[in-house]
Amino acid sequence: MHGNRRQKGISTILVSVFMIAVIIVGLGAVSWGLNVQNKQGQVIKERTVIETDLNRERIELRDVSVVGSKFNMTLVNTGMLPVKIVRAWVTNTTDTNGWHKQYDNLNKLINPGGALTNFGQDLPLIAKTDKSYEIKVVTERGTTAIFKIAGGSDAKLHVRLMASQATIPTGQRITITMLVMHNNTLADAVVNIEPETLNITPNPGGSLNTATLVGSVNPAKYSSIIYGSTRSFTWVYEINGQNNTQFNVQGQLKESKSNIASVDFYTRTVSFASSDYATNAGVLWLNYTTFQFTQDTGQWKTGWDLAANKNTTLKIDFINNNKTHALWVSKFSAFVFDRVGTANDYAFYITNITNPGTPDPTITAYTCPNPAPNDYCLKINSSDAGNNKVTVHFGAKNEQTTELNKIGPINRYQGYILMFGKFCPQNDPKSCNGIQYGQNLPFIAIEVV
Amino acid sequence: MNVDSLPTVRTRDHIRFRRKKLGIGTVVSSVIMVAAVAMLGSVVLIWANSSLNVEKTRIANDYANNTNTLRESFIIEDVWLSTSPANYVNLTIRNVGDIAVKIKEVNVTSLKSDGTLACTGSPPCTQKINPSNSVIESKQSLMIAVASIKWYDPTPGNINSLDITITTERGSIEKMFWKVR
Repeated sequence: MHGNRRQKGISTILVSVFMIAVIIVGLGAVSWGLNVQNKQGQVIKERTVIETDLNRERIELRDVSVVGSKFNMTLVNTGMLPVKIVRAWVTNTTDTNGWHKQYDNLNKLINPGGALTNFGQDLPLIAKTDKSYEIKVVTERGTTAIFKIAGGSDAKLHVRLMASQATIPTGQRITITMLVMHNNTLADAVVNIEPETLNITPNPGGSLNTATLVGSVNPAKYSSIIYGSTRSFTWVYEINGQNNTQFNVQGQLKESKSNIASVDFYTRTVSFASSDYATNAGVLWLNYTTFQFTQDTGQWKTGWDLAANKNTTLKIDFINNNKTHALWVSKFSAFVFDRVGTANDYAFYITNITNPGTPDPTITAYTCPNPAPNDYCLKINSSDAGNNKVTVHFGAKNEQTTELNKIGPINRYQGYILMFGKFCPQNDPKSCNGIQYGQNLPFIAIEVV
Repeated sequence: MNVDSLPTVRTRDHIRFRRKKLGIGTVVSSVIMVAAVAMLGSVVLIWANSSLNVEKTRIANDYANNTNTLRESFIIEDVWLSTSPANYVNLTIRNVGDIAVKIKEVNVTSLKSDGTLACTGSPPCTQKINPSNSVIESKQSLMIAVASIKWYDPTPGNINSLDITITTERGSIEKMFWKVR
């Protein structure tokens, strides 16, 4: 019995020892495995962070110029992390076997949102404005940013010319603007933007039609234009030309960097002579020299001296300068005289016919009931239709009556004509809807004696 | 063996002698059994531990390789197609990781615009090299020249791009397409 117990005790001890050993070994293995897994997870995490950081780096070209035969670039960090530029590659892409150089150990730091200016000034290379280059910068994390800078005629820009006015009076100045738009995807920037002198051709030619540059183009040039942006140049010219002279303006950028743009404008002679005053100053023209009046003498008289307190009728010629539309004259049109120094005025309404006579002239009321409406009895043709000059009579005391009106007592008067009407297409009847029109045609001065 | 089951010769001396004899045998056999079990157990334990250590070492190596492969990071920083000397492609590789990498193989293939091999003949349109001295330390770069590869064809579109594949000693692969101007 004792031996049996001893054997069992030893076995138990042995089993226990082995179990403990197995457990220790097993736990060690499990612990080691977990540790390995943890380390691997850590490496994966680090790798993920690196990859994420790489995607958060972004460098953009904000400006570039060639200063002292070296690039002068402004780079902006638009990413979310500080970047360190460690290397740059510059390639001459214009020449067939253009050079390709690397520049090491740059170590240029740019904070997020920050800019690196004058980049390229310390690179030992000679940059020319008539050559194109590809500049690649490499960051410490491995991001590369490539900027294509075009010079010479390698990249075409789009230009557009605009004139400040489509028509210009002779002797006036006009501003010509050249808009330069960079929408060429082949280049991130184009350097040395300078316009050619504008070529202005008048038609018809001749010494009477001239365009003289006032000052110089403003600005003279731009150092560069970045993709997606716009620049403008302006010229001011003094234009002299005969009426309706066409001026064709053509312009482009130097070194054939752009298309040839074109714009036209026309000269218009502006004068205040009786023959063309209305052309430039209003639709209806009043021919002052045709002004006449009649009172009690049975005759039409010219001049400005009217007899006081007498029935008076007046007439004057109108010309309609509307090219396409006739003017139908309203019954409210009147010749009005204001007596100087008083509040008195005297309105002589439009009449159909006025006949001089003694002791008074006779008038026909400004009525025309058939066809309706009983208004717009007088038509002044459009200028294209011809016969657009009409003598208009005034004399009625009220609209559409035959009662004569008297001029006032002795004094000086200033007169003006209130013309009302409507413009309708030349061949439309007087019932047309038309465009309502009113014009005050000054000034006639008379003296009542 | 149970002593009680032995034949019954019931003399006092005989019984005493027999008991003495039986006690020694039991002890001896017990000792032998215990020793055998302990020895066998120890052998098994040592073998298991040894095997585990070997396996741990293997796994540790695999782990080290895998994590180092994961930590490898490099870019093809620049590709320059050289005409002098002709038919050269110069690759600049930058190690942007924090451990050194060793370039084991560089494979360059000229492709048409439809992605098929651009040519056959000489010089070939595909070239594979195993560069020597190709260890790139962390944050450093190395230029590798791939010679005798046709990358230019006067007919537009005949060679549209280069398919570049770089493989490291640890098995990392960097692949890029470079458009030929």
